[in-house]
Amino acid sequence: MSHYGMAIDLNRCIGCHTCSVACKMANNLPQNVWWNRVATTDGYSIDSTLTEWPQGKLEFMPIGCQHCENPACVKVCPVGATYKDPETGVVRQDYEKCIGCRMCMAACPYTGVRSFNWEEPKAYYEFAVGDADIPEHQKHTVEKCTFCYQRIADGQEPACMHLCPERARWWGDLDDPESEVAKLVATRSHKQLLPEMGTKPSIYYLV
Amino acid sequence: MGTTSKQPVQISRRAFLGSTAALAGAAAIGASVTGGLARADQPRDQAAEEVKINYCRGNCGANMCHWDVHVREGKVVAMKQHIHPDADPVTKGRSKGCLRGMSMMETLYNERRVKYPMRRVEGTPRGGGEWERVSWDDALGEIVQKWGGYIQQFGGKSIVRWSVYGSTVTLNSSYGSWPKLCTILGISSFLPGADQAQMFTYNQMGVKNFGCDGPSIAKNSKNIIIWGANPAECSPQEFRYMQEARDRGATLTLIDPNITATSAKVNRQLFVRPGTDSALGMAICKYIIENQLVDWEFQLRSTTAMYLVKSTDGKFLRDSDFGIPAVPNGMSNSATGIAYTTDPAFIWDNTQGKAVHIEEVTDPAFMGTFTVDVNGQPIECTTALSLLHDRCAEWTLERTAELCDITEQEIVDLANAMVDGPTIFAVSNGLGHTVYSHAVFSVSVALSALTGNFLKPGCGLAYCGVTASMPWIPVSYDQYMVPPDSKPGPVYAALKFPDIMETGKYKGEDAPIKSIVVVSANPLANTPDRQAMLKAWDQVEFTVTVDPIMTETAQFSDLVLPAAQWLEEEDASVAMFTPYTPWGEKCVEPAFEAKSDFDITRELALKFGLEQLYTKTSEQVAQEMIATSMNGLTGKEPLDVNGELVTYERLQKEKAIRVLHDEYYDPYFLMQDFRISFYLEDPRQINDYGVAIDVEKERLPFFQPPAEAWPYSVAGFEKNPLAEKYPLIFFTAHTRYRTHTTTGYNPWMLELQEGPQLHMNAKDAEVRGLGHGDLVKVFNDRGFVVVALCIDNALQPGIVNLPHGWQADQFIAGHYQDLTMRECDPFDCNDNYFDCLCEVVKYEEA
Repeated sequence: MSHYGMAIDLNRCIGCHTCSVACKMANNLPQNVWWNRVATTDGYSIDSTLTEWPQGKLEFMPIGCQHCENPACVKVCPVGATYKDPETGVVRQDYEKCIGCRMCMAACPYTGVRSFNWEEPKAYYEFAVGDADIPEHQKHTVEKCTFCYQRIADGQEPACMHLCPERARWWGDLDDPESEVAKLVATRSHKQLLPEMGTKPSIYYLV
Repeated sequence: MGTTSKQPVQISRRAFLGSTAALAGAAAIGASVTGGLARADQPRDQAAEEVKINYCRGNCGANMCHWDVHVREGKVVAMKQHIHPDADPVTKGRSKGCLRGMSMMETLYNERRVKYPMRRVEGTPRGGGEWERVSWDDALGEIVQKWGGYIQQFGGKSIVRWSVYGSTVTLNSSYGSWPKLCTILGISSFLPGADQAQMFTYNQMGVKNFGCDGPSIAKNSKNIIIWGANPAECSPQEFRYMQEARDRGATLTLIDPNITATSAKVNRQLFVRPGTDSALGMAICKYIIENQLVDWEFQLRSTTAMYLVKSTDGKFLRDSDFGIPAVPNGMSNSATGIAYTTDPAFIWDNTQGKAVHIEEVTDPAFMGTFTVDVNGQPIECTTALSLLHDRCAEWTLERTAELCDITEQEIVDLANAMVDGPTIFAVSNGLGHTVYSHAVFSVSVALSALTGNFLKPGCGLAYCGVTASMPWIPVSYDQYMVPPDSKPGPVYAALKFPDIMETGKYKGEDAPIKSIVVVSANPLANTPDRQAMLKAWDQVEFTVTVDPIMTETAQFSDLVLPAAQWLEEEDASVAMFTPYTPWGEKCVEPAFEAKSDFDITRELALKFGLEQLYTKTSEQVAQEMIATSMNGLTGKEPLDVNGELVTYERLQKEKAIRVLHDEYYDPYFLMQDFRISFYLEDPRQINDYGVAIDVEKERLPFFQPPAEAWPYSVAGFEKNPLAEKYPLIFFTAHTRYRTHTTTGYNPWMLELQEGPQLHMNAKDAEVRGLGHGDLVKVFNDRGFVVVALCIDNALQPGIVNLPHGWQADQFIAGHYQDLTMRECDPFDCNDNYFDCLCEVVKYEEA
């Protein structure tokens, strides 16, 4: 039994989207689908700010599924397609079971971390890119970050963790006090997204 | 889009998906799994996957990141940053790579990939988009027939090779094969103006990217001055060393008019008025000299500050002035070709009251004017430091504060940060995009020299925080590019292309341009004053572009040849921005009918009857280069960090060999007297197009407002009257999504952005009645571009920014390079993209 989680050092994050592209590639994500996004904290568009010059700052926050300990999505899924993997704590999504009701999307307080394939998912290339063993994207299903289950099942890290240029991302077993991620959460000040929702996310933002 | 038949891949994927779902279901109901987690067993796909190693050849300025290239069924399916085996597992050491490098695989399979040789359909206009597929034999035959005619009638110089810095390798792209063929045929070339303010100035001063390496910065730098650079965005793979330095306690100071991604990561920022940086630098020189903050010991040991400059000719007083001949020492300046000599200089000794050699000095005069008897003639001589001080005299704190729009205290604090070393000066090209901006780079040399910030860990001039080191020089590379008895054609400043086409002359001599071949460049999208460039381009009889992608320039060509992409050819780099050998293996076969530049030029050469000069395969040439390479610092054979020889065989096997330690910093400089000199004895211009430089002015830093982008009346400088009509300064700053137009058509990069947007401060938008998302027309007398507006208070009011890297077919109408101008200083023939005024209105024609 493990409880995989992630710590993202916002002091280090420069919003480069390398993690997002690594995710996009590894999971062969369809056109316009991103499981990991890097939001600019303040602005109409990415890479912009509304705070008056020169006080403004361009600051960034990578956002994906929070792999909550108490996931709101799991409770509402009528068919058990969204489920929490007891081995890893990873919140997973079974495309075969998903009926496309989007209850999980409505229940999840973290807007935008899930996407729904209204149409047949479109790829840019006529061959699959990324990891060899990923489930095919399907029409009328909800999808989201899997913590790259295909990789962790193989003892590897999720794609976004492969090499953050700033070394701002940490991943591992939160239940193992010796893991880098557990040590950082124990020693660094951090925040979580919408703690008041009681979802207990497994993503910690070091601040 | 896409490149293979769909069926086989799809069938096999469906076949294994069933098992994935079943296993996932098992995990869901809590089935116990031993030996790890439940996973699909994929023997077919796993077995078919091969991993090759290549490096990113895009010129972001701090590149050569190594990548693991995953190949399945002959296709690149994934790019993962190569984790070097000697890296520690937690930090992953020097392993690096960013989103742009990762998207390189998208270039291979891009819908705009040039698949076959393509010829513009006769009778249709250039850029009309009508193409016919032709065979390689026809395409090359046409080139040989047309070029042969031009060479016979007008000489080889009537054909121009237009290369920029699209790819940094030895055998292919801008270097190696094309220069070789063009040299043999006497073909002329265009000198790119991109970043010459920085490159030519630093090269002439002998301090190109001269300093220490990333980990050395992280460990040792106390102050980091990021000047006109945005490394958090442009060099994400190297910026971490500055962040590590900051987290250790170093102070990061950013000098930039606008808020950038780097701003949030530094300790303080000076929001200077754009175009005033050299005055800021001169004010600090003055402050440092007058407040006795100069590192005197360093000057004596390593600079020419106390050298005596003769009033008669502005050169240093040397032995040769007394009839002792200067002896060439075999070295020369890489920018000017001026030979370095052994010719000891003189300094004034206060106690002895005479000029002496450095070894004889006991009481050196750093400042002052002295009369020296030279062969019976009394000649007035002044120290270089005094001349610098005189040059900077007008830049008092008060006047500089007014000019730069910052406080006097900010200038003093910046001066103290520079003095309080070890200090790194990370000076990039953001401030080198206005006419006269090369003076910023010369003043940065003066500042780092005066403060003694060289030759020690944590010190130096470091482009975006990374050193360009060249410990590996393939000697035969130069011989390969310039074969014996060949006569290279003339070099024309690219910015003067329109003038050449109008007059048929260059510097008074006939310059008939009949054909242009574009290699490893996209000049029509990236050169300033595009309308003038297009007009000139249209007067050229036969235009050829060699590129993997149907770039904007390719779209406007008569003939387009499909070049292999980086992952499709084995090659090595001549420069190094990595502690490992920059060597890339061929990962996949060239797609469609693409060929490597080596093969294209070889086939062309054979058609020209040059068999005797083309007897070797690319593998043989590569082997020869490695075998004859040397360590650029020692001049000896290239050894790795363990003292073992780097060989072709080892590269084949090990792919990336560590050649630099983390503690590395440049131990000496290759320059006249082996000393840093902020005073240029013999300033030269990069290219003589008929306008001479002011030698006296160029010997030391100076300030002159930008030629156009000066909408201010301040500190005694009157505003450009054009600002009444066009009050906004137009920037086209770099982003993290692309290096120029490279990766600019890659779908993942395009999805991340919302298309080209003009960023404008809300105050500037309000007075123009503009709102976020409005379509706006950005224009001046040269041209216009139509894009969506992004209200963005990161911009200083008065400056608008349309991030760089887009091409004609990505704008709603017009082009941002239609606005930029091609005026330049004859010193550097620099492209001055930011020296541009404009106005913005709501786009009504929609």
